[in-house]
Amino acid sequence: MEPLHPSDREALKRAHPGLTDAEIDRTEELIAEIDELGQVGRFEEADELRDRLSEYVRLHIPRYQEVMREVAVSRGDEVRRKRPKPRVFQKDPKRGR
Amino acid sequence: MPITTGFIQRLTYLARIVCVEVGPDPNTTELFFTEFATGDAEQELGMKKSLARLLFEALANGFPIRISHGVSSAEINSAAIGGFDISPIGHAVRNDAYTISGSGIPDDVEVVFENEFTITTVTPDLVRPHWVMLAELPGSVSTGRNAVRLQAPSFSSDEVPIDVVSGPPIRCRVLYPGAPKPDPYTIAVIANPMLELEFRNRFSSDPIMTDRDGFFARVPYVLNNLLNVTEDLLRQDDIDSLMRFVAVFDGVLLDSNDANSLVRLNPPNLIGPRKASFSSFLGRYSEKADVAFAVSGSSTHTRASANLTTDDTTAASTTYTYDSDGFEHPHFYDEPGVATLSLFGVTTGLTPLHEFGHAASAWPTGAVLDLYVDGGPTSGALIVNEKWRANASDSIPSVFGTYDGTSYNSDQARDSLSYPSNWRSYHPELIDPNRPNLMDNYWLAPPGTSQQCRLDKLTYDWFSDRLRAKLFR
Repeated sequence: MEPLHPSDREALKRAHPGLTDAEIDRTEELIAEIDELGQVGRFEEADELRDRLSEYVRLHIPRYQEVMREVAVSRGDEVRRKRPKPRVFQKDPKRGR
Repeated sequence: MPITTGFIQRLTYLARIVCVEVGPDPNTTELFFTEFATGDAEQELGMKKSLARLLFEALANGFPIRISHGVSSAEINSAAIGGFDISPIGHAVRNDAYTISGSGIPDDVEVVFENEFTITTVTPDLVRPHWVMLAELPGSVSTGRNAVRLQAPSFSSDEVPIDVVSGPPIRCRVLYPGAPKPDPYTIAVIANPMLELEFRNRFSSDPIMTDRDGFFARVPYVLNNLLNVTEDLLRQDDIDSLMRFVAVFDGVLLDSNDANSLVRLNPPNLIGPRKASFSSFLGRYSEKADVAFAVSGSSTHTRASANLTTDDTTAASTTYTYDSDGFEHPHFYDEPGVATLSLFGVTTGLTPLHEFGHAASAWPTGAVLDLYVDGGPTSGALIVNEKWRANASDSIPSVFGTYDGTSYNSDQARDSLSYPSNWRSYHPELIDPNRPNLMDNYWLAPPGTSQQCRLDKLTYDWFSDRLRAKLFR
């Protein structure tokens, strides 16, 4: 699982005044635990824990998805922005190259 | 016996004679012929028919030809299509991905398309010594016959004739074919057609399906992350030249069903791979993959994750020891390792390679786990890169473990991050102790250096052997 990007953590804290690193870390632990349960095929336990995670997020970081969407939209597609443009040279039909 | 090499400028068929004019341009040619004589034996006639077909092919495709003939005779004794030192892979479709294989290709290479009217020069999005990739064959390249070549200040390839078409785009594109054998180690990158919503068994179209350009811009980013960052696990000794790479973007898969969904949205913002769907999905295109990535365009769920390979433990394998126990690197898999990636993922890190680290490992036959959470031991499975103390206050053992008879130390400090006081887990010694482990939180590396993070020594050696066992199966 991709670790939480520091700028995502900051965005969550900005959107939830009073939100602590410990509360975000607790969310991270739950997410990681669910992920690992899924890896080993313990889906029922993962589903139970997912309910606990949803409840925890609802109480402590209610705008989680909204904030992540805002971050994604503002970030955009970094790859496409960085691609160099092709160089096109029109040949002189009378002189060849 | 003299040999004349060149392009066929003109081919004429006169009664029982096929004539070709061979030379560098239409004004500088030599005439050669082959005659279907009445007295020719059946075998000789067959050879001449094959020769005539070869001449037609060379003319139609613009391939150079080598003609062997008598010292003072224009009659063709034999002919062969000349080889090129590069090989375009798949159809050349404007605004679609395009790849070219070769050898000794330098990092500063450019791809040049030339026709009667224009020369278009493009910087590849991916360069390896044996292939290059363009995320998009530029729309400025005219349709019809073009010549393509690779060039750099110290490198120049042959010019290969290609026929560029305006469409349709290829649904499953082989980017690089890998080892010429039935089961080359394969990595696939797939645009996810359908998302399974957080409430199970409800599906909606993945936004990436309206963004083919975005997907194909992301593919070389993924491959660069696997092959061209500081960690050389996948490119050591150019082993990636044996790997097959494919990309799938199938814009006609509109059915909102289970079979078209490779990604599940998990709370709070995880994109989870639906492992069971990948093999049958790729099977539609007659492809198989050892590791497959599904790319999603969801803007609410953007965090990548992976699911480990399920090895085939009944087929051939390579044995090894871990600590005092015997284990195996299985050569084949029952279900591929799978991972998800977001179209909006930050590109300065190691997310594709990190997720590959999970997906290419296996449960329960050798798992590589996240090191930025404490986790805990699981009975009945081999965890390669993490162990746990009985109590968080216990000191970390100096020796982490033994792999195939070689002893590996522990990472006493977790590089610059240090182990939280309540953690019981500890890790093997790092290759680069100045940065976090690739499987740890690589975002916490010194600014601008996340892509320099590497694995630990034990996992690197274990993974190298696992990959080789599969590459040489």
